[in-house]
Amino acid sequence: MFLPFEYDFFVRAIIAGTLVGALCGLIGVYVVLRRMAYIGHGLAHSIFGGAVVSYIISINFFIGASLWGFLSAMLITFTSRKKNISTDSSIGIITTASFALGVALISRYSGFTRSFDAALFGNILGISALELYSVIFVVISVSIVVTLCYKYLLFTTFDPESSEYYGVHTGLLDGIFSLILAATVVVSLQILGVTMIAATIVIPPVIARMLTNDFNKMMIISVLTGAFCGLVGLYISFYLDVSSGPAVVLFSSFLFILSLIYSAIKERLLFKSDPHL
Amino acid sequence: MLHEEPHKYTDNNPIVRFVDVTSTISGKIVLEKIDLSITRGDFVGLLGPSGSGKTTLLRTIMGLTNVPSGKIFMSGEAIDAARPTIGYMPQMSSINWNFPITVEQTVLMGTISKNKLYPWFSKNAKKAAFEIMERMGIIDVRSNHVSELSGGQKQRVLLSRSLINKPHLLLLDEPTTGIDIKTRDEVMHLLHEVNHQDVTIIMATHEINAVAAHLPRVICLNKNIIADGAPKDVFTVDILTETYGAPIHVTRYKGLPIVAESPHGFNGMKR
Repeated sequence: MFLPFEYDFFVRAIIAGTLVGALCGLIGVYVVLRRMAYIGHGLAHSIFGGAVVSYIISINFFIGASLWGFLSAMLITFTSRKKNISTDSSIGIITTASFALGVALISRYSGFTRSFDAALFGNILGISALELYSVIFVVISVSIVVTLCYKYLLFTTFDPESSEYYGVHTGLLDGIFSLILAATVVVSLQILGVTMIAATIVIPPVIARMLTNDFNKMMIISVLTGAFCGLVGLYISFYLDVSSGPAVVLFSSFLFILSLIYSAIKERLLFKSDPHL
Repeated sequence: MLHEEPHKYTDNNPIVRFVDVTSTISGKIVLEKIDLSITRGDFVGLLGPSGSGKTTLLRTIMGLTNVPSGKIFMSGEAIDAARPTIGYMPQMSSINWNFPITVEQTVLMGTISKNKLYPWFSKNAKKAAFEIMERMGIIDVRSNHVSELSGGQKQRVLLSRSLINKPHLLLLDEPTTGIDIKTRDEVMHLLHEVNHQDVTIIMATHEINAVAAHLPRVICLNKNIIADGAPKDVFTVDILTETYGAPIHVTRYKGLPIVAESPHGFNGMKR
């Protein structure tokens, strides 16, 4: 069980994976409750384009990709406020266009050497010390932002229309949320891969929502579930020699099925004890 | 039936005064040349078809629309200079009642503008929430999830949230839409009580007979004010037909105007 800890790369990967899982679980609560589950998927694709551009024009990946992701998220928010463009349509257009730009640039510049598979599906071998520090930095930053904006994020998520009436600066909150979501996706890319991030953001809060009706408890359960999925997923990735992204997502999906069965049994028992429910 | 007369207060300054106000949303004129005076203690119903500007009027009072021309005064002062505490209650249908949140947390949201830098709800906010929930009769369900509540309790939760800061002006957006007759009766009596505790109420509504006819004052709106007065004076065939742009018949029962919204039925829908 402790064998993989003899490898430095695995220690870095397991710490990063657990933290990324917890981070996705935290931010995922707001993503799911804001009914924008598709945005994680879209942003990851969009950031892929930003990452390629950053690589080609030789600027720092984290800065370039985060900025790209933030601008994409803001653009999505802006276009989806137009009455005749729905949120899922604007996500579909903006993020796919950005992804297409990344793919086009890769095929145009033959000097591009980074692993395409790793970007799409995640790779535990690719976690450098710098990437681990970036994950730690983002986890701390996002936790501080979520704590400081607790009541504002709660209000704008629950009742966005009224929160504006009550003096909450919804535009600023949307901007802050887009920024922390983009930062989360950027640091998760290396471990989870472009195609797997969405499920990691969505599954833990969905499991948590099935288990509780309390917002604070939902956040705690979601963070713990995300961290657990990250930890176990990376173990599976190491032992079965599969990409880390699919390993984390498959384990999360397994827990989702278990919690689905649990809540179905619970509902049945409740119904038996009180058929009027 | 509710009292026909609202409480009268000896405040000479109207709580809300519009002078030749035009209000726009996304560059489109929704309200034009509105002159309006709401006296302290008034209980006013705003009537008009969908898109007539009822919600925009409420939003304009809250200072959330563009006002390219005209002046708005709140308690005698220009709106930019002083913005009094205003309570606002949205439509029930705009709320996600399946959201994982308790009654107490929902009510506490009304205090969000206080202690802006403090990330959580303060002790004073919790005390205020307790008091208002007690007053509104929902103290026993304060730890319940909002989805477990009846329609009347949900309205009380939203009303508690809008009253937690002890506002003198309460704006309600269709508070009786989508609820059953008993709950509607309960809500109207509750609002009547609130009005008699020195809270001026302006309420957008679609329900002419069940709600507006029982209010002391109604305003018929369709981009501009078509009529303003007591229901017995305002509910005439001419005024309502002009307001709604559809034929409307008015009759009387025990002195109360009864409005037949579709007196001739729908075309082609005969038995």
